[in-house]
Amino acid sequence: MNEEERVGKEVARLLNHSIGEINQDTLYRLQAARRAAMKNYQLEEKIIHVGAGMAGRNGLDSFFSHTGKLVLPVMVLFVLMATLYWKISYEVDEKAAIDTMILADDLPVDVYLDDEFDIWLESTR
Amino acid sequence: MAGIYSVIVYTCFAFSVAASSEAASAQSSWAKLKPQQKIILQPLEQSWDTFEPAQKKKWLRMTKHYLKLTPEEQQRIQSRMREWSALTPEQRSQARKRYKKIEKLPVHKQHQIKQKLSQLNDASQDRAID
Repeated sequence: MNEEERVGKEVARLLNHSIGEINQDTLYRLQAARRAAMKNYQLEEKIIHVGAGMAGRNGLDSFFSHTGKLVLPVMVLFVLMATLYWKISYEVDEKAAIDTMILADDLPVDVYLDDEFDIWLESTR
Repeated sequence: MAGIYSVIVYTCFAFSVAASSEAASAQSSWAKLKPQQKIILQPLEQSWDTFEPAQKKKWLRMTKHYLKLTPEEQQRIQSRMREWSALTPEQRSQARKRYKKIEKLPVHKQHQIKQKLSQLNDASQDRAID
């Protein structure tokens, strides 16, 4: 047993020995201090609990704050993809609309394939 | 802040779903087409599965325009589908450009030109028969 342990045990023995000799005022103050300590302990526990709840939200915010740096490139990429998709879709739509009109037209398709069409069209203007 | 991100995420998701569903339909085989699409595109049944996805997508879009036309126009389209799909992409592109040229003209001019073109076409057909 080292010196430190020996002193500790001696202090504990003396405290136990004199516990019955504590006067009422001191006892009351000790109890009040304990209550205050326990109250603070519970409050701290609540804060931790609420903190954990907030941590859930904060975690999400934290996630977004981390991803915040990625938002701009992601948005740019998204806008580019959407623009490309829209452009392709528009072109397909336009082709579909014109093809429908050509095929539904009174004139046969051959007319639009004639090599002299452009020259002829210019001459009619 | 989280709300904005949610909107972005949902928009991306909706966009992806729409894009992928259309891409999937454009790659579908003849057997997977809807009954109405099969009826409209019936002249293309034999060659459908050989079409490129972009070509399929265009024909599928055409079915939507087709439904708005008169029965006479619908019949005309169906009778010309094979001929049109047999053309090269360059020929189709040229035909579209020429059609658009005419469409840009005033309506009365369009009628005049179409009438002349029709007469020229009839005359060339007669010559071919002779």
